[in-house]
Amino acid sequence: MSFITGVGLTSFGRREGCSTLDLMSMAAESALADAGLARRDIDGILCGYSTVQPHIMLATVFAEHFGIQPQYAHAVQVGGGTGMAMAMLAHILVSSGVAKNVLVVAGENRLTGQTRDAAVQSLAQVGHPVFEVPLGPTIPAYYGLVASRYMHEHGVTEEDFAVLAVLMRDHALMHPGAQFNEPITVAEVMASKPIATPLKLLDCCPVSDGGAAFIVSRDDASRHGVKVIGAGQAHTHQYVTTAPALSDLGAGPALARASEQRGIAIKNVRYAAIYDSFTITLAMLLEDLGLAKRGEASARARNGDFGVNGALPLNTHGGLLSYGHCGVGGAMAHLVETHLQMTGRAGHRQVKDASLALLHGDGGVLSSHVSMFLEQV
Amino acid sequence: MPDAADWTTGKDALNYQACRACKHIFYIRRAFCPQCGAGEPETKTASGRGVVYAETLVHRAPVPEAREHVPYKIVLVDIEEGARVMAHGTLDLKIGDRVVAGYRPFLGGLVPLFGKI
Ligand SMILES: [Zn+2]
Repeated sequence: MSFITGVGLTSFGRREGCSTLDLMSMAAESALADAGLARRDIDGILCGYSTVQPHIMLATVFAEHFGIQPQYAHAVQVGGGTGMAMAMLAHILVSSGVAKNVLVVAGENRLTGQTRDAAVQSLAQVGHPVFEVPLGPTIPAYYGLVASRYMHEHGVTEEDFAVLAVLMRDHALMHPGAQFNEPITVAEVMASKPIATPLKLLDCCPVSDGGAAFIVSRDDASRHGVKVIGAGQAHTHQYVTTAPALSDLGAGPALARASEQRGIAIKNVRYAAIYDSFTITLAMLLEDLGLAKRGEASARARNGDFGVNGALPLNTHGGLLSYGHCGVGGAMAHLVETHLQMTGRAGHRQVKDASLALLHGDGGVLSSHVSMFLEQV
Repeated sequence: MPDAADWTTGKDALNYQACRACKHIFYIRRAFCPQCGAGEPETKTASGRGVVYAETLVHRAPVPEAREHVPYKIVLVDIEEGARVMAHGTLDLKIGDRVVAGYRPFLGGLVPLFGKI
């Protein structure tokens, strides 16, 4: 058994002068304070990677910098799925008695720490170095390929994707830490400049500076812990060229593995935190996870179901699309927001009922999937 | 490694591999079959004919050197031998189009460029 006992999140966007370690430290400090723990209480550290500050031992670099001598520490790399993979591993470590309090932390000055060209170029390397990268693809191009096929098979339109971008922006407007604070319309998403068809600028998450952290504990001394009640993964491929058919991607299997321990039914989920690197990612994952019928993610969004007052509030902080995406910390913000919602601390974004939450992250090009269920104590 | 000369090494050809044990067909070259593990898969040259599975028109280039080429089309093509490949395509390509491979220089190398049959 494990509890998430503390969370920390910086604002995302331009954080001039902040290094990777600065952003990690800020988020970790907030998470510790939130959990009511001191540095000496932390006996495990998991951290993500930083493309701006690559290091073969980032967890111990951070541990030394922050002032912790953990019994267990290393970095984890699952692309965009890293945050949820770390949450799952921390849950396993705590449940099995290896550690009492695991600090999970990530941060990166991805926006101001490098040029935009360097960011785009380094991310494109997720493709195959011989059979894909020489063709000049980008991350949006990999997802553009997926989106073209998804539209072809399921009759989804570009407007359907745009609705999800608007939803995430509407949510970000309620969060002072979000990178974007100007409202957008479907028409503006449709008119935004093409990046890799059918994806346009506003279908894509931004590059951000930011940090996020949380603490997974054996005992809930904070009195606002939420319980991890299931987690599962699936890894079907690395490259989009070798991906299975759209119907055989990993979200479903990861969800099934996360559900089976407690026999959780998807219809009982009250809050959803779903990876949204692109609008297509969010649409597909919502439907693959059964949170919307096939081809109907946008219809549910149009109906208000995913809003703060809807039947299934979704990414109420604005998600990667509008809160921002600082690398590993980006998807960890989804977990931080889920925790705030489940503990009644989301202020004017507070939803009525977040008693059971489903979180889902993916890395690569829908390559690696991690699902997790959290329950109110 | 068997004869690997194709577009990835600058030759105007598209190769794939076939497992001698389980008959699995695959594209990304290696010294064993990723399905059954058998060694020494056969490297074959594809006819170049296939069908477009997915397509995207890239407007934002990943590297400055690619900027002069935008927009360029990237496609996934199911070649008739049974593998899926990533390549360039002519700007008019749509999903389901029957295509054949040609080649063009791109960023200092040679890349396959599919066009309608
Ligand atoms: Zn085989």
